[in-house]
Amino acid sequence: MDNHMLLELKDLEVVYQTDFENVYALNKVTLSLNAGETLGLVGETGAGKTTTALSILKLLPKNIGKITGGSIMFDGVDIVKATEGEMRKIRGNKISMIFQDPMTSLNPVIPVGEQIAESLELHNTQGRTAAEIEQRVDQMLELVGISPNRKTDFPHQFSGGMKQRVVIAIALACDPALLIADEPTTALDVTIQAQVLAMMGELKEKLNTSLILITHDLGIVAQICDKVAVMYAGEIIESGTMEDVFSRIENHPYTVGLFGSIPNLEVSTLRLAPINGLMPDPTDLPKGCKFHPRCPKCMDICKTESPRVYETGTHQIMCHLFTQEGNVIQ
Amino acid sequence: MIKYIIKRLIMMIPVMLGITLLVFTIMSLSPGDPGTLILGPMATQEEIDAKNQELGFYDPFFVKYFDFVINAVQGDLGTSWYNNQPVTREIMNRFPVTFKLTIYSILLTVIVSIPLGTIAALKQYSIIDNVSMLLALFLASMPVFWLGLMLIIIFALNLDILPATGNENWKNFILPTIALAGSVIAVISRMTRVTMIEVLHMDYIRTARAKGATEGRVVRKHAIQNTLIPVVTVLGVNLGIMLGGTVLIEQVFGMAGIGTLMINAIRTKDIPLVMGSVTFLALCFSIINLLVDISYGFIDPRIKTE
Ligand SMILES: Nc1ncnc2c1ncn2[C@@H]1O[C@H](COP(=O)(O)OP(=O)(O)OP(=O)(O)O)[C@@H](O)[C@H]1O
Ligand code: SF4
Ligand SMILES: [Mg+2]
Repeated sequence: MDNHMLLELKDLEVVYQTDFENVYALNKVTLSLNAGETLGLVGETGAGKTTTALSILKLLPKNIGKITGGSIMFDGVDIVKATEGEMRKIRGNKISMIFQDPMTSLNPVIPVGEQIAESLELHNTQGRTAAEIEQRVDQMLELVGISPNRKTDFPHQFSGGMKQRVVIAIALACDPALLIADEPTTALDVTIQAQVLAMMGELKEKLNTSLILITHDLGIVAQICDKVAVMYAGEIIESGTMEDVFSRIENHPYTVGLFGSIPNLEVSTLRLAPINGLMPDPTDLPKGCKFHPRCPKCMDICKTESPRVYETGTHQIMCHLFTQEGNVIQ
Repeated sequence: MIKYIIKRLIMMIPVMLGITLLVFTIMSLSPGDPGTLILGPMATQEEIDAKNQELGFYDPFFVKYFDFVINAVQGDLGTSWYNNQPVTREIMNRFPVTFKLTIYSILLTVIVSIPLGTIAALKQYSIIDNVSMLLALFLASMPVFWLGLMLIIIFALNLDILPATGNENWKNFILPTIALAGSVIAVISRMTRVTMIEVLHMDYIRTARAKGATEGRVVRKHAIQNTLIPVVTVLGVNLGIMLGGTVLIEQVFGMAGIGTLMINAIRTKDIPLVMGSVTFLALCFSIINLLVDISYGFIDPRIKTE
């Protein structure tokens, strides 16, 4: 299996400029992903997970969301510098995204079959005929466990779980190299959630697709991810392989909070335990470590100086606790 | 769909009965009798009474109303008291003018306001957006007859390029059509603009962009139809207002349509003709509403399958 570096985000900065304020949504986000790998992106609401995903597709809300610094390299293409035309060739073809809410992600007035066919028509590099595209649509529906003779039905005729499957079928239609799934299961009940995850895992194996899985649920991360990145206030405050993070030898105090009181890997139903306090206001971020107002281990230096990255092997933690004695980079 | 149309047609019956009963009641409360009107001021009271008796004027209210309904269902709206002509024929003579005026105005509204609203939405806060929406505000706040008068003053009197009155050829229809459509164009283009802006923020539009669709395709394939759903509803309501507006417009532009027919009938107390025109306009209104609802079923699949 080919394991080259597929995606690399370096010091990515994104600002939402509204009429009233500037929201600093991403502050120097650095991430990388190899072909075939699965990355779990976790963090509280408002951490910047969706923003990261939208930046990769360059689909930040027009006139409001702006990339103000850093770079995104995807398969040799500099996304930040790419033109709209170049991006259109990538979107839905090499990078697909499953959006947060399947209920509203499908167009209510277009039959689902047509919605699946659309990306195939837009990226018809193989010169498929109309009949071949129809065939592919049938195949995609079967793949996600929906009978192909329902392709003329409209979204409102499907249940929530089936809509989510259709959304997945759309995302996978063109065999993307990278799939970004933004909380693909939060809208689903537990049984269907498990089915959808299992299905995505299978498809990923079959197609060697890389996956960025955005979630609140550490249990899901433990189940299917190779790598984990924890986001807080627009920063990646901890990242590493699944083992690095879940073995719990060294963790960022925020990650410790996320784990709550549940001690080890064997317990697969980890849930986000509430951490005291709220996410800082992204229009007015605290000085020093952005987590310091909520951190139980907060020291004086944390209030004034931003922590640097502490690195052991593949494991990276951004916290003063470790950089004082550890292996400092940057 | 067929079942739905039949259901809607049946629902029209009570509506038509209600409207005709209401107008019939109002007309019977107003003073005046056919005998005096037909025989003129020289007739004696006996002659007038005899004529009224003959026409069934002294029958009880519900007998008269019942007769009217029975005849109307068979296409007979009675005989004009004023010129002794069948009301149905009078209406059919006048119908083409009103029909053309309404259809032209509907077409003008759709052709102008949907593209205009869409462009304004796509180029939000641009010059074209600001100018067209200011113009819309101006048009929306203008009464129909006043807009008609202004158009006559500018294009017929001052510039002398279009006729002010009459309904002989297509040139006669230009100004009345604009006057009648004006405020509806304003309403519909503003409605299209806000709805389009809203639709373009929907998740499924982002899905379309994430597939790699161009902005043009996003608008044509994904946004327009969803925008039309609420716009068509508002358009339907406004078509009724438009039909009422023809009465004023025909008056302003001296056109021989059903509106002028009805006003003259009211003036001369020609009750059968008033009843006939009102009934006919009410029927047109119901049919327009039905057509709008049917088209709605085509635009929004959620309705069709219910
Ligand atoms: N269109 C926007 N305009 C202004 N601010 C925005 C916009 N979209 C997101 N933000 C802000 O950017 C920050 C990051 O938002 P983002 O949607 O990336 O969070 P998230 O991690 O995906 O959260 P969730 O788990 O709730 O989906 C938040 O503070 C949010 O309020
Ligand atoms: S840098 Fe300080 S405040 Fe921030 S997480 Fe580490 S210990 Fe807590
Ligand atoms: Mg999100």
